[in-house]
Amino acid sequence: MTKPHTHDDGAPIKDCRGAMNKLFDLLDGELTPERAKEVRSHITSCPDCFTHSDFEQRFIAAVKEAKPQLCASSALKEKLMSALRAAGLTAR
Amino acid sequence: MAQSPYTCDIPMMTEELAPASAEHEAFSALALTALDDVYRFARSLTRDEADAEDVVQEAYLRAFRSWHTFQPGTDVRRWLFTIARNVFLRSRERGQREVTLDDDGAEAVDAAQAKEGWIRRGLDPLLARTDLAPAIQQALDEIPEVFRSAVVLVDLEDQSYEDAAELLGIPVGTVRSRLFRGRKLLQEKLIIHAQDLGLVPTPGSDGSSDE
Repeated sequence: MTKPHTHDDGAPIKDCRGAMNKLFDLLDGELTPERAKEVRSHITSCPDCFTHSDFEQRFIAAVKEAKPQLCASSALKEKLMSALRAAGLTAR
Repeated sequence: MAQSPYTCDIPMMTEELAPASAEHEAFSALALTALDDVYRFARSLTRDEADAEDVVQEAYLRAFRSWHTFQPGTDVRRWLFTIARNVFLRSRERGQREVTLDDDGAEAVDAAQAKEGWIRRGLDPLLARTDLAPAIQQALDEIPEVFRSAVVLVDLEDQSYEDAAELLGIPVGTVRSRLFRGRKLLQEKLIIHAQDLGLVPTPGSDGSSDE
């Protein structure tokens, strides 16, 4: 479903700035395998970029972990069903 | 084991009404199963339980009336998120216009990068903690909605850039810049909350840790 790479300018990764501009795309799985390999190749060969990439990766993981476990309450479900039935819903 | 108050498996009421049309059955089966997700997304928008419930109810009524426009086979959750966000934006339209903060090109990136070292040094030791979630949620609540929505959709709701762009009605490049700004703002807020919670020393302290 995801169509990675469609918005990548394709500029060669020449330096840290180029690699870091693509860092979130890389971590979010938005790059093609070839492009990801190119960016990763810079990161693994550059201690500064490696440190930064490692930090951002762990930060994103922490944010994902913090997804709130919220549910619609029973009261909301009942209220919603009543409203939908009043609007004509006839599903079981 | 006692049931967690946070489990999302309370069944929808499915009794009583008959006969049901196939369309209504489809709405019931698809849209209503996404209710917890839509509610969570509405909470991230409104940051308030009652407001979120209002948004959910109005969104579902609109979804029901527009059910014929839903394309089978597409992601019903994304469709409902779009409607919920439109309801949310309209509900606050009277108060204020949506702040447009998207025109951040290289300058914003540069400005953010200048702060990178400070942020990274402050946050790095925190990321291994298992009690960071409340601080992250609080920080997320405090960043402007345009950035919060990008972070919520991509990081919490697992939407691709392309899907988030479609949902928000903006170009993919704008999703990318909002996500970048959103994550950086989140990191800055998170440092402040971590300091408030005593998880990191506040600036100006002697740097010693009391742990």
